[in-house]
Amino acid sequence: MLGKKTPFSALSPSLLLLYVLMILPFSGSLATAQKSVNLSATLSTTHFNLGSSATLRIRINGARSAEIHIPEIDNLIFHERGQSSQMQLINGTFSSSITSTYVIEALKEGSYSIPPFTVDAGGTTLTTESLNFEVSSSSSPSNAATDSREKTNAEGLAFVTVQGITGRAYTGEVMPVTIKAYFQRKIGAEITAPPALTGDGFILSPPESEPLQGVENYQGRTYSVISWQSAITPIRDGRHKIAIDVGAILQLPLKNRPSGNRLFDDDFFSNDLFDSFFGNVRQQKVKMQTNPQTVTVIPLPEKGRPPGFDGAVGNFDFTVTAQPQAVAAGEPITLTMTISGKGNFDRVSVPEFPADENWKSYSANGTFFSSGNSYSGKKVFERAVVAKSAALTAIPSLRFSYFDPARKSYVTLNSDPLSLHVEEEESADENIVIPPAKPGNPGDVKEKQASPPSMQTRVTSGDFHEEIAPLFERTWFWFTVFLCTALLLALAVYSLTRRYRLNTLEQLQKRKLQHMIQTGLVTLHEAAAAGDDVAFLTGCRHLIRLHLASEWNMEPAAISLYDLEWRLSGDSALVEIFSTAQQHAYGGLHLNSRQMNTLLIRLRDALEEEP
Amino acid sequence: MKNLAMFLCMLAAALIALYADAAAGRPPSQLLQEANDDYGAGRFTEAAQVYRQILGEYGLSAEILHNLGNSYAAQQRNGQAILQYLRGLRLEPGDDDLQADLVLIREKTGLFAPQQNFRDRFFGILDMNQWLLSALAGYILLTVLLVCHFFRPLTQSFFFIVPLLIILMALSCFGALQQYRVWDGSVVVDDRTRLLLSPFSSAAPVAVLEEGTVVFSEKRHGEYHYVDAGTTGSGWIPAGSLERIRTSRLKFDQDNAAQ
Repeated sequence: MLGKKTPFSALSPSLLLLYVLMILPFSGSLATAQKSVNLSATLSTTHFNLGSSATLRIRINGARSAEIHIPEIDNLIFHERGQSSQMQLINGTFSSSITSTYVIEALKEGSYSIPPFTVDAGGTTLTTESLNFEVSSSSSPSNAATDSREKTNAEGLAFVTVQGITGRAYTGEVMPVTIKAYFQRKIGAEITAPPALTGDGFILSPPESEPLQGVENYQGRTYSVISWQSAITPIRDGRHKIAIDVGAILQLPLKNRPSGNRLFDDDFFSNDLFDSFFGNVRQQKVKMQTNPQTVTVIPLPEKGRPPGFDGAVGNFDFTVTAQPQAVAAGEPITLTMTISGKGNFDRVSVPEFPADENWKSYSANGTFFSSGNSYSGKKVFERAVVAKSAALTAIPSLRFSYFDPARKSYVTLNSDPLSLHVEEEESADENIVIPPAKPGNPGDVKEKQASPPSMQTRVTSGDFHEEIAPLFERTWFWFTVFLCTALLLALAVYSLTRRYRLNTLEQLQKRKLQHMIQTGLVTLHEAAAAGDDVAFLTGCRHLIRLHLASEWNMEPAAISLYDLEWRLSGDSALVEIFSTAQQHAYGGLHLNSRQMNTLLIRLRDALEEEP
Repeated sequence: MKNLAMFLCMLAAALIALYADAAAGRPPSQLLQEANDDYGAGRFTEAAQVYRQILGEYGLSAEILHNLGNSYAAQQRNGQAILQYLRGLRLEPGDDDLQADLVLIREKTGLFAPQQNFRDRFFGILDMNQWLLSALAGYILLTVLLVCHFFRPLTQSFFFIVPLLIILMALSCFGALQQYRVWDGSVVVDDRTRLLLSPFSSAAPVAVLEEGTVVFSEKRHGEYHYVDAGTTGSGWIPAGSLERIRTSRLKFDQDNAAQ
């Protein structure tokens, strides 16, 4: 029994390990779920002029999507300017971040504070720090003026242009613009600051994508060109001058290389890469600016302004669909309102559902689907409405108004009424007893009008419980877990201990055997020296049996010559010596001292070598 | 001898007091009958009071909570009705009548649940306690199998059953974690409760929560709870505007006494 190993003794640690391995991925996923998501909200400036704007950037690290709850603040308008996301896989570690950009427009001068607002990202809700800034009147010195003093002359090596600005525009009218930075081909350049607007009363949208690089011929010279697509939106009426700034570092050649060196006159060595590599350039930080352009911003006309107009300017289409169009009274219907086209989508708000006592409408949420830029695409709103009456046959027409700068007038789009089939509310009130109202008791009048949803009351009380609580707060739950764990641990400990004890016992037995064999060999040596072949051969047979009995797990006395011949190879020395001893015992064979010494040496070797 | 007589007197007095107390309190079946009569006669407020009395005196039962929910629904107190239905479902997750009434009242009040993805639908098959029970059952079975295997090695099927049990346990634990927020929610009991940006009454509202909306309270500041209302957003609402689904007999008892 001692030598027998149960499969469990070998399996238990493996099973425990397997259990841990099975659990680990789940704990890992949980860890990922709780992985730190952090948030930062920064303002591009803490002071700007009325009519100018500041940019609010909200960066969420560790999340792939986020819902930002921008607070409403009096005299401040937040213009959403898109969301960009970034994902990185570095050394097997995945990281992602989202940056949302808002342009802040102030309607009045003064000190403002954006209170902490919440962002839902990665399953957690984060809160920003409060942000403070000041807005001063246009007459006070502006940052733009300060910037212009720092302007560096690029000496005609590089310049910037803007296309698309018109001389007149309406407040809120989006002007798509193309901004191009030109650099002489012989110089290297690195953009350090993306296009920024100088001037009051306008908002420049962040560039829609990465800048494009190319080569252009401008006034007879070839330039390397970097271009951005963006949009400028006037936000304050009046005459304003605007310009676009782009920051760059130019890599200018230090001096002309000495002429006459024919080897380095080759075109291969005349490029900026070569100069840059050998350090033959000086770096010059420049701020390029377009020529200021005057734009007259016309306010939206008061005359003809439709009710419900929210400031949408552009050219839009409006469609409404409903799903389902056949319902029971009281069942919700989802209205999908799609406003598509071109214009300032940040001012496109959800069309109101007409107030009607037969309808109940819920708040709507909208999503903007861009067509590659911030001013074209579609904004889709979904609103749940509930028809209360079976007499309703149509979903009322909805209205969306905008100002069309091309027509110079307001446009109101009305959706077609959608047909609707409303069935009587499924009612099983037949069994309900509505009591007569007690005179003069308004509370009971309310009860009379009520209709309980369930028709039957339960007549049995069922099982009573002391509380509604999760199982993990119950003592018996943890007691059971503890009991099972203790049992498994006890089995594991017992199994390991037993294996240790078995190993120790085996070693003890082996040591004892070795000692007996050593003693036996000494006795054999003495018998050989004395010429006592009877004692010698009997001792040989005994030693061989002892040696093999432990290996074969048999009683020593039970081992016969037949066992040796069957289990050991035919030329084994042990078989030969055992056979000799048998012949002596049963056949009268006698050995002299020399033969006994020879046998003794062979026996010793065989006991050391053979199992 | 004198001490023994005194002890016997005290014992008799205690027994009499116990008997008198038991005689004064009516059995739950009688109270239930009375409440059902009130309900049937349209006296919903009185019915609700008696149902609450049963819950406070004898403990929580899915059936009584269902009846209480019906009484509130009849009074157009939809938030309270949804709360009691949800409490009933915590005790009897498979109660079809409760489930049907909850769906019905949610449809009536326009509180339809947002669309769920596959993972939410899968783990929504069972509630948190059922997932926990499944994990515990798996653990017990695994322990029994290993113990049996220790004493008498089992067949090869053992080596397939053990990993399956471990997968079941892990899945159940994950399911329980997923369902925890759903299970341990609170219900908005005031109509058109404003979800505020900050924990004070003059703070700007983020959204308006309909009565009966289930929210998850994440933290508390003074008399306000910061709640996650799912797609509606997160914000602060007054503590008095919501009630936790988890409750106890003692809570009902205290509320009844306070009334």
